[in-house]
Amino acid sequence: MKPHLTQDVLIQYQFDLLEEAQRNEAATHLEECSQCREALEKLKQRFLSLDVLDNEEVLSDQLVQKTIASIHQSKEPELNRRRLWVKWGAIAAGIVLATAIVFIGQDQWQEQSRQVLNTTQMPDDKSLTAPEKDDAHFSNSSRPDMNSPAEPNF
Amino acid sequence: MEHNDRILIEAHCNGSADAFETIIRRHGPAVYGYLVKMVKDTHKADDLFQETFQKAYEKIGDFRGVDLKPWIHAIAANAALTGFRKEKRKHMVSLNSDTSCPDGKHCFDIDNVVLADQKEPSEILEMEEKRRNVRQALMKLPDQQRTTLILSYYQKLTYKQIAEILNCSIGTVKTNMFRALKRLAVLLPESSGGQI
Repeated sequence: MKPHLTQDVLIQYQFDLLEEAQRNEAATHLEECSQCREALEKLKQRFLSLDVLDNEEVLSDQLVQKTIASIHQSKEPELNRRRLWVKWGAIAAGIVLATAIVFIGQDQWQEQSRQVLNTTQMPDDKSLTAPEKDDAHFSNSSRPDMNSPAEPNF
Repeated sequence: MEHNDRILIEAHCNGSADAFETIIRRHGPAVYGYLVKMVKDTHKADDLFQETFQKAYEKIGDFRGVDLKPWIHAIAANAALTGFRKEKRKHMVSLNSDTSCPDGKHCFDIDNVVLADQKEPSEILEMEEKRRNVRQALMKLPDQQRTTLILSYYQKLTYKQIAEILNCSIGTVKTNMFRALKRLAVLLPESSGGQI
């Protein structure tokens, strides 16, 4: 028979800390050796004392409520920050929109003014040709000849 | 359970006000159990509990798994171990070993927990004595060994899950577990076994 299992091996066996081959070897030995089985049993009993701490601690409803309250409290500054961003974003968007409306309105007003001006200045085709005639007349008869010396017209 | 966790997370992300409270009520008792065993007094456990779920609330939108238990325990373990590191630094500065419980009233005040089933006063006293011994034995373990043992023995997490929680290899987890058990085999009272 192989030598008895050490306490270290028994601990490792009990808490599944051995490699598979070592574990099988220890299991085989335990089947054959009552002394090691007894040692393992004692060890189990000793570790069973850890169970006295099982379920000793109870999570109180008060702590759950406190935790939820603290989460909501910490959420508040973040929400305020978000609200502030939304507020300033809305203001900025409003300014941009207002500026755009002003510019577009101005353009449209200028366009309309130009159209009104055009319609009042150019009611028909004659009025369009008249200045040309005048201009031609001016160029032919009235425009002073820059090359010839100016002569007073008495 | 895991499936329900996913549903709760989705409900929470979709704006359900009650979903996160349900998550706290489902996983809170285990997390609290872990924290109470990890730290000396319940006040500190309460603070760490709030810190844990506060962080869980902030990060839960990023959670992509199905089982919240190891994930929340990872946050709790991180909070507890970070707390210990800070405490140790304070101890080194002040050289005062009692700063964690200055008034001496809160340490182990869980001793005053009333047992659910009424027992004889002598039995209660005996049980309290056993608890105190086991708690003291646990507190003598280094932080990493204690957290490994609690996560494995009490929280029933696998070594693989513990490795993920503590961000280390399974080999390290097994080594810490073995060292903790070897030390406890000496520290634990010999014949105090048995359930309450």
